[in-house]
Amino acid sequence: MINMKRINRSIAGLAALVSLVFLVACDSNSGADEETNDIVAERVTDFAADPFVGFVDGRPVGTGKYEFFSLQTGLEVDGVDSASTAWDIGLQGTDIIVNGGSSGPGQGGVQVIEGIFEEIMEAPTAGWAVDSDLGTAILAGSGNGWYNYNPASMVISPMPGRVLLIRTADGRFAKIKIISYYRGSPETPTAESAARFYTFDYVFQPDGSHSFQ
Amino acid sequence: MYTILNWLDSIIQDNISRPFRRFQKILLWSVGLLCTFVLTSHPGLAQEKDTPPDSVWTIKMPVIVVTATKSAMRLRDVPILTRVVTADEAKIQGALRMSDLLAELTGIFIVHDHGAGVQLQGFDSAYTLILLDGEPIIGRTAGTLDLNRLPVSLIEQIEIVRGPSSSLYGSEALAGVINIITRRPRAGLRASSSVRFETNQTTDLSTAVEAGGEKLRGRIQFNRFSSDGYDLTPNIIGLTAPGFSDYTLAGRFTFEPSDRTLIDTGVRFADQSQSNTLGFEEGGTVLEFTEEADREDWNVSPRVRHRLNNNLIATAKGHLASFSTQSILSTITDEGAPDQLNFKQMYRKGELQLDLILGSQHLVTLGGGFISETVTTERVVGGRRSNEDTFIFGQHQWFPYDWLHVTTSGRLDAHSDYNTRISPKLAALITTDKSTRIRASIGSGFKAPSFQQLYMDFTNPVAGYSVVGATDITAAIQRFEDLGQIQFFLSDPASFGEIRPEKSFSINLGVEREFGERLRIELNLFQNQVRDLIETLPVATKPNGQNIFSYVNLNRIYTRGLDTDIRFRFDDHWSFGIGYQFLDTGDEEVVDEIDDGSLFKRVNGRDRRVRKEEYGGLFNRSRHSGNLRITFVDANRGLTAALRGLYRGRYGLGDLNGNLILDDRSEYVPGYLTLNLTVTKTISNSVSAQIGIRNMLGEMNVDQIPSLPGRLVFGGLTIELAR
Repeated sequence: MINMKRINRSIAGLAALVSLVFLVACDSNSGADEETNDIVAERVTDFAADPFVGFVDGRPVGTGKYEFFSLQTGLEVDGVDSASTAWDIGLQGTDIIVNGGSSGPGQGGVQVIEGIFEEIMEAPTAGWAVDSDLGTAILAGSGNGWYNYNPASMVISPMPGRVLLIRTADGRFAKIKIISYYRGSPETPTAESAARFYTFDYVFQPDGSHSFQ
Repeated sequence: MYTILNWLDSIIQDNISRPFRRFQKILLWSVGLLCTFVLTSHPGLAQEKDTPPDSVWTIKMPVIVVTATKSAMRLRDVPILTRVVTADEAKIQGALRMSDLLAELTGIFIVHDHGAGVQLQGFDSAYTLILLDGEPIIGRTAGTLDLNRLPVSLIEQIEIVRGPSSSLYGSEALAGVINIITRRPRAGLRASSSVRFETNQTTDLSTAVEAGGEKLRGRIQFNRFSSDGYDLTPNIIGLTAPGFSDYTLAGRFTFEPSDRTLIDTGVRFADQSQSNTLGFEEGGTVLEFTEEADREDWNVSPRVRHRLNNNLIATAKGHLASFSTQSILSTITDEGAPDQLNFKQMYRKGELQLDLILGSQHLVTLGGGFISETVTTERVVGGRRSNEDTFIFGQHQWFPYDWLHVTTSGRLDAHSDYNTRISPKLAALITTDKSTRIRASIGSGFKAPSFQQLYMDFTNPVAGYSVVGATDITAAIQRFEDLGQIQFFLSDPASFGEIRPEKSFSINLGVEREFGERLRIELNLFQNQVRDLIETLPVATKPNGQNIFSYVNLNRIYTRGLDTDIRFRFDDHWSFGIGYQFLDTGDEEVVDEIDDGSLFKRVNGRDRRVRKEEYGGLFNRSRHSGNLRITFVDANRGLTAALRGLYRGRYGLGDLNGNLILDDRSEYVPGYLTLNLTVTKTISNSVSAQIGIRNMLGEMNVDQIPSLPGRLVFGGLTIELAR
């Protein structure tokens, strides 16, 4: 069994090598295709997801509002409410909503999948969930959705190997990998680090297809 | 031998999940090989030879133990792995508290989590039952029973039984049992007093008076232990280890109206108080608090033993114990009422035991009893809860040949708040010749859900989350719903409520061999599998975004390993000891997830699957650990010196890369060595002096091991008078 796996792995490695050589060969042969070939992941840093503004009964609180982001423009969407279709995802603390279902008027949907961000090349056709009165489609709680909470260090960490596939408000597709929940993306955040600041990578496919290539 | 192994193997096949079979096989075969080696090298099975004493290095008398079979037996004849530490050994080390003494034993670690708890066979402190003269010491905080509560001056010997012993003792005896035995008062008149001073203004005072005639005897002991604490982080408000003062008053009284009857009563009262200053920042201003913590515990444990005839002994035991804590948090910088938290636990037990000798080959023990426990605290529903446990147990010791001793035991616990538990155990001792003993045991242990897991009712006023005990979750959910406090459910509420004790299946195998009078080697293998580990899980989310948590049976873990202890007496003066433990632990769910390729880690910003060899098992467990002991004794000059080196290999501290498991080099605390030296000199018949250095190398790790205060120097005097 182990041997079989090893063999499979080396076959995969060989295949990767061959395709790399092929790609390089392609690139050098057809430089004209370069621009349409690859969609590069964009990085959003320190997106403020309703950070703490003060204390109520000794408990730090924010304003209680979602901060909206458009994957199409790559910008924060200011001055709109959730009834708009200008936004694709909304963030408040650890909660993430998408523009659809009970959260918004758009065609938005989401699925949290297990896998490696860079290796996910296609958005599936089925399996999309929307927010409802029963809760957000990206489940809340440690280990359920996008993050793990470490009770010993009191730190929220993005779960490695979890990719958020997003259907945007206008029905196009994107994939998101969350890098950090703390301002400045510290290597090892502590309970004292400024929380509710998202850093994430995303790939948005503007042509409406399911492909991320 | 072959059939026993085959039979063991078949049991294992039925009980154990796939990934562990290979380890089981290796374990069984290595013991099989050891047995073969022993059998072939000593064909004279069960040959009559002179019996050497148990421990030629310390005492010439055979060591009698009582914990493993609930009956008095020579240590060498006990079928269950037992380690003994005597008062003499404790004196040579100069240990003051039980935690100091146990920390120097192979395979035992003192883990600091709400007190100094013991880690045995890779299990947390909550899984080892601590007894004082056979009766449980109560009062655990977050599962830890703080062994700093118990002064070493109380003891005559400590018996450490490894492997599950729930078949005799019920709950908590999952990793093993540590029984602290006090000395039975002797005839005559004795008094002793000792004083000791150590770095950090640590002071210990002990006094004991013992008096007795033919029938009535008694001893009263007093101990005061205090320290100013220490501070490793002067820039942070408050001490790393706060100062405290601790008092213990203990007594034991025996009355023997005839040579057939013994009335024996132990009493103990202990009190500890400590205070510390705490500070934290809130919105740019620093708030300071003082925290006063008080702890009080006492027990009264009478027992009557009566020999009805030559073959039948009846023992009636009672145990009444109380443990209470109070903590008061008051603000210095701000006004406001102090925050007070009280906890009080009462434990009442009545037990009857019959020991019956049947012919020359059978010894039967039968017993039963009743335990009632009450807890009073603001953090349980209704402020006060109680539960009952009725139990019966039986044990059959069979001596079919003079080289074989087989012990079968079992216990049934019928509890008011969780399912009835049956805990069986089978153990055998094979004496291939007078110097070699092989011990094998298989058994099951359990740990009952704690008060907190059963009855907790607590909402954190700062963070806003709630925790509800398993017995009250249905009612609590209803209550939260009526108040509109449930936004949505995170798990099916019907899956909560039924909570079972955590249970284990374990195998222990050991070989012990003496090579003449100078060398003794011991090798033990163990394997424990625990199911139904109780974990917290969020049930629902509240409108404030915080969760309601409760407890469920969730995880399966394993601990397995090998430990060895070698003692060598070079001559009348020098003796050496070496101990080593290899420990492998893990969470079976994590192992499965790694096998399925569904557990990832982030390396240099890119995710990849965790490889099996990267998984370091449970946190806070050292894969390798060991010790080296050198003792010098000069009886003529009354001089003893003991140098001990204790090595604890690297262990996981906590997750840093977001997947909550131990799989990265940065998540480990590096291994470290502590060296302890104690020198004792007898000045006159009644006076002796002792000096020593603990942690001679001054090993420190401020960030990761706050319980390591650096080098400690001590000196003391003991006066002993007898008439």
